[in-house]
Amino acid sequence: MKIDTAQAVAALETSKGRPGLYAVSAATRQAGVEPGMSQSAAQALCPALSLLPRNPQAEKAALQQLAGIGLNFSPWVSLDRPDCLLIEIGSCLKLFGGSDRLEQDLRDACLAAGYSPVIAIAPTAPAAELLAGLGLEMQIGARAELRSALGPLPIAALALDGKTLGRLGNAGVRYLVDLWRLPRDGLARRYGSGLLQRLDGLLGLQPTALNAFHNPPAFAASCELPTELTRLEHFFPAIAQLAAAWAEFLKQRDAVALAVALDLHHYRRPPTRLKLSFRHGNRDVDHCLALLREKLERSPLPAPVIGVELLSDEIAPYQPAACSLFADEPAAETDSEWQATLDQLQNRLGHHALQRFAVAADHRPERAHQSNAAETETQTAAPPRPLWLLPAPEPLSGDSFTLLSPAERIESGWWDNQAVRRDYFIGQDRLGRKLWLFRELSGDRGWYLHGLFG
Amino acid sequence: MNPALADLLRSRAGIWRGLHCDHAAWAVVGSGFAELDASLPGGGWPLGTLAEIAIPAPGCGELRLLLPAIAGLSRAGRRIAWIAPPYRPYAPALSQAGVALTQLLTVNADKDHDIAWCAEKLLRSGGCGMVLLWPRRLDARQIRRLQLAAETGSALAVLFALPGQSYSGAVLRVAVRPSASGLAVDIVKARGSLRRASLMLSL
Repeated sequence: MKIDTAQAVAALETSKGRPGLYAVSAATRQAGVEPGMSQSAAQALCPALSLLPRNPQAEKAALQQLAGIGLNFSPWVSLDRPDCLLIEIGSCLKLFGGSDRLEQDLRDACLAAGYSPVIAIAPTAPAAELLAGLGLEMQIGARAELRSALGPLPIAALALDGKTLGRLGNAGVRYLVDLWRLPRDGLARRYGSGLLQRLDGLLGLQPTALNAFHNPPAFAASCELPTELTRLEHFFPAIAQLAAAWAEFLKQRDAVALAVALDLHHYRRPPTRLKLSFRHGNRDVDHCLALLREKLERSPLPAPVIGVELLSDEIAPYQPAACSLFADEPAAETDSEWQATLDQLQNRLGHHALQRFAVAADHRPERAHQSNAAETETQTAAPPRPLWLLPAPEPLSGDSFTLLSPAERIESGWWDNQAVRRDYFIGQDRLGRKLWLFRELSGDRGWYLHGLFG
Repeated sequence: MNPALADLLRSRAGIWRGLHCDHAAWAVVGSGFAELDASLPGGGWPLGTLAEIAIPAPGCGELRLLLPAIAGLSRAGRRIAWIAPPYRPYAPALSQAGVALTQLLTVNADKDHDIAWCAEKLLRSGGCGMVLLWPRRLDARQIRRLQLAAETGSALAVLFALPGQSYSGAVLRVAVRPSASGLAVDIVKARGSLRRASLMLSL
């Protein structure tokens, strides 16, 4: 929701059970409305005033957007303090050509994003926060200037609790400079050590630790279509445009995406979502588009499309394929093509459709084969095994086969309650197929077919 | 035949020689059975073709017939894909037969058009040396597409046909049936040769 701050608008907040004005626009302020006024008083002063409830989530999102802008200017940005953004600029002043230039660039960037910032520059974070909170766009260069610069500020700016503020006022303390004149030990005894710590923090005598803000990389872009479209060829170019932006986004961050979601928006209907996943991170536009087209061609549209949106938040660092210095065989090329083919298969058939083969060191026939195991263990010499294993042993009548081999006893697995006690044989049925069968040594002592020699 | 006469016959484009073919014309992979290699034009399973193996029922020896070729291709670094196999291919047995297991891939697909689509993708990718597929029904167009994909990826595509299924578009058609002394193999049709061969392999 975009609010036009040139109009008479105000944000409403309920504090201590009473609705009151939290913030007002410049036009409202000209009518004499101030933050903290009651709703009725404000409307009496400014009849055209439109009141909107305060939206903490939107504020948070706006601050995060601003933090993203701040990251263009400094690697260290913090959102730890409420309602303010702290940017460490000491280490990047030279890059931007001094604090004046940096402030101007930062202001331009914020204005371009639709925000009008109050920027204060000070050697300590609490001092800069205090100045910006009071709306004072000051620049304090050296730590030695802090005392004289902050001295004339009223103590109310310290956001102390009402009781302490009242007591200080009664003692004749009006400004910060008055506090600095008082002896420290007396100040701590009368008003608690919190006040002293607050003052020390302002001057940088007390270290403050703040968490740095990191923008979790995520891509989201949408495109509205000029009209309702039903044919894939008509709205696919819009998707291609979004995919190109997506690839550029990943390239700038030296990252790859592990998954992509495409939302097709419809008029008065929930959007249709198509999800793609990549076995290995990917940022290839053509590959992504081929997969999306594949998916779109097979999923019928429930309604005409009025907008498309591409989202991708599973992002991993890019790991270039290792290549030899003297690479003379194009192995990496075919491998990436092979991975792309597997991506296509997996996205069409689902996650469990592709399986690899491996041998596990277990005597139980069911467990000696493993799907999707990372490593293949070499098996010790064993009697011949069948090429096909049945999903579950099938009961077999004793007269439908002839035995061709002596018994091989497999007795294993007593330790994990999946014990197997069987005599395995190679047999032949009337069709002439070679069978792998076994006889239970415990229980019903019946015959079972377990595999075919293929 | 007289070499001079052979040269003369080869130089005339209009002369068709039914029972002879240039064996060096296409790449093959050895079947691992000397008698079979001798009967197959080119001296082995031809790469870049679609082959049909007709079987009375799954598990009649058709895999053992292909196993030496599978092992050879996998050790040469080419991948083998199994699409919609009727049972689970058993890794310990493949390992015993000398197959490089890391080169194998099974694809579980239920629908026939998915099976054909996967096979075509894998054949076309060029990363596969052999694609084994067990479809229930394929139409002539799908067979043709698979044949072209196999040529593109110079791979061997093998279709297993149960009684009642027949894919006349296949370039190589082989029928197998188990017998008391081994496996009876009939080469019904092979590109490059009009000769029908029947042989008995002891597996």
